[in-house]
Amino acid sequence: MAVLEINKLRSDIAAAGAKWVARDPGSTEPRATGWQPTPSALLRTAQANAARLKTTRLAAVFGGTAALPTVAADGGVAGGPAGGPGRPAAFDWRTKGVIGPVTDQERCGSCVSFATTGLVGAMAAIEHGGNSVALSQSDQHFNSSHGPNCGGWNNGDSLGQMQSRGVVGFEDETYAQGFDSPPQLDPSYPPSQDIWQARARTIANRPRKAYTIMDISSWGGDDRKTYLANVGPLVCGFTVYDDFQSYGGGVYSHVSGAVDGGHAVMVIGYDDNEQCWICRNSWGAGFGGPARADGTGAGFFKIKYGQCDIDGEDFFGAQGIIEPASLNWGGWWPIQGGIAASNTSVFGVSRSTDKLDIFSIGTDHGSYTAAWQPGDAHWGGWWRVQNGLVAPCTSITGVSRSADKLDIFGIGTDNKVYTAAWQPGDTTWGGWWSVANGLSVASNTSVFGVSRSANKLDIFAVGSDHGIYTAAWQPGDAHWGGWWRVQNGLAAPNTSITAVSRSADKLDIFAVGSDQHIYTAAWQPGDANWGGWWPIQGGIAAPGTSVFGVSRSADKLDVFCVGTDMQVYTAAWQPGFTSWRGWWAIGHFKAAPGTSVYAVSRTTDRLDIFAVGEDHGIYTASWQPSQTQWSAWSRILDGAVAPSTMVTAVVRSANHLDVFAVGTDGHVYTAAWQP
Amino acid sequence: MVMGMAAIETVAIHGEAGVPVALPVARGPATGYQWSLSLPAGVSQVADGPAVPPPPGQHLGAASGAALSVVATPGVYRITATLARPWEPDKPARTVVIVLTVQ
Repeated sequence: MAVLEINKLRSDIAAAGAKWVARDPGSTEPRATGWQPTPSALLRTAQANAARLKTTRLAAVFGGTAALPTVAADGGVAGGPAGGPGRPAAFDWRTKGVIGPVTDQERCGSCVSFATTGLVGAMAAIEHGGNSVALSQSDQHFNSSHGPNCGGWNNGDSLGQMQSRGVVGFEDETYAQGFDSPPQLDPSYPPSQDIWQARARTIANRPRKAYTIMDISSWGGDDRKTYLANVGPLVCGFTVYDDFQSYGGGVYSHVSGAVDGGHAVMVIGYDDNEQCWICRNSWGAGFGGPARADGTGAGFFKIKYGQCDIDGEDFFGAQGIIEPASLNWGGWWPIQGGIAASNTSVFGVSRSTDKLDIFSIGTDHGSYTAAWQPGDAHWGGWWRVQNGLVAPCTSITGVSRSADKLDIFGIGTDNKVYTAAWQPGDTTWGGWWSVANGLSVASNTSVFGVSRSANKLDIFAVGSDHGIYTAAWQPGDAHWGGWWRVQNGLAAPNTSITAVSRSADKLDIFAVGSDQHIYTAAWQPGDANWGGWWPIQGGIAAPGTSVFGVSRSADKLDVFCVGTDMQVYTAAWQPGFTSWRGWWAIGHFKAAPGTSVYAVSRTTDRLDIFAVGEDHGIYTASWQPSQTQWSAWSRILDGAVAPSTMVTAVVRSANHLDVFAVGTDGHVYTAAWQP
Repeated sequence: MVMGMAAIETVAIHGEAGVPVALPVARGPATGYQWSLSLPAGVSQVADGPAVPPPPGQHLGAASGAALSVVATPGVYRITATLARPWEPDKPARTVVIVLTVQ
């Protein structure tokens, strides 16, 4: 019988010794108005806990040595995986204010999409602060690979779609918009099953609206509780029996009735004292009766561990919620048909306010430049910079040592460092000139330079012996000076040395050492020799990545790298610090192997970083002093880069960002942001 | 969301005395909605018909498809099937009147 006789059910519950209550059919109890989660300050601790879980549970995470914040447990520690973080005896994410309101799938088998969108919306709140994000269940269920029908699905595939295509916000397609108005029965199912007909909808400008996820994980055993207590909610599947429909509070366990079908819900907590999972259902806020002090009712329920085949498959989690890009981004625009050689990146400079000059290596390995300035309808270029030929797998970098002057640096096919220069009045570029005759550089590296004060140039390269070298030029010098070895530093293969001038005439350089640890060295006027190399807080970088830094205001340094777990980390130093601080993971973001993170400061103390994701998409995140944490990562429109290239950026004037990338088709593209 | 099918449907079916008859109402996905039967004297509900296995990878939210079944003695019966959530009995989503003729 589909609907159980209530007295029989109560008798069965008592006979089974179960600890739940069967609700009166047609009960006159007041209808629930929904759970009102306790407002609370949102969870910086959750983010730190998530990082801690990863550093202690996963072997290859950033060397396991990074100084991560420690977090007080939310209660008595009840164990957890050996060597892993603890967990309290009970935990409920509602106490953190991150669980969205109870939703209603109505007469459609879309429970998986209700559970997974609920999960991702809650994770957005946990990772970025604020409230749960309402996501579109109909976009997830009907517009995805699942297809426009009310049939079942599974949690893993649903999250996979969230990772590959994303899901738009609820306001971009409400659940009702997934059906006719009023809804009709789907003729492809027998009418006896009473299943609504769903519709696939086209959502205008969808790439600009989609939330995506970086990581999907699946968890079994007690790891589920550890994850719940330290990272976030999960989704699960279980078998619904007739008696579940009469649930009216307590810890549910199956006692009678036939199988109704498989069902997915969001798991928001657990309670070892009651031996149960705490779940949010998607059958409206009336399910389970009114909200009770024990946290059941109003759409929420507790189910005994191991019941109803709930252990039949792993629980799934999602991390690294990527938000839609700001509408202020424009692009990606191809730059004059330019095609770059493989494994090269495009770097640019702003030689004076609002002017952009970029440099790329063509498929013929010639060096090329293109330029834009206000008033130009299109980019100018590409112009060949003399006859310079550049070695494979390197990039051309540039510096503007004073207003409107350009100096660029590249590695020739003979593996020597060359430079070329241009300034107003020149009809052609000067160069290529060999820099200080002589350093043979390591393959797959580039030369980076900086102007520490007007018209002075300092450049840094990795020698073929993997030693780290510098050369310098300033007005009055007939030739470049150098190459001088910077202490005894040795760089890891396929990495470059980057530099920052944090105030006039000061130089700070960053390297990934041959032991993959991250090091810095410094020089300032009066120093007879470079200071360093000092390791930065035990940080270890992923193979083939370099460390880029930026000075967001006088004498402050912020550096960024990809850790061995492929997450993006930052460390900082400023006057008064006795040592570097960090490393802090920036959100939960996974970078593509062999890529680096580029950073700029578009106004005082503001940081913007750019990285290539695992999917080769182009992502950005930002920080400013008024923020307690970094912004969410967002994808810059639908841009994607070619393998082994990185995205770079230029600040051409305050609050204007221009980013450059070699696309998957080898063409050079740009995108821009302005307020 | 309100579905525009408030009208009561009527369906006529036939059966043999003592042999289970599958009614034209079946288990859909697990959504909280359930069919309940108002059975006249002479008719009793028996185990559901066979469930339809869900396609691979679609087990969560799939309809069971098992038809509700009854047995009856000879006669003509009027069975009312109501689709509602147990906690919302006053808000039926659908009502089907089944005229069952048993020989």
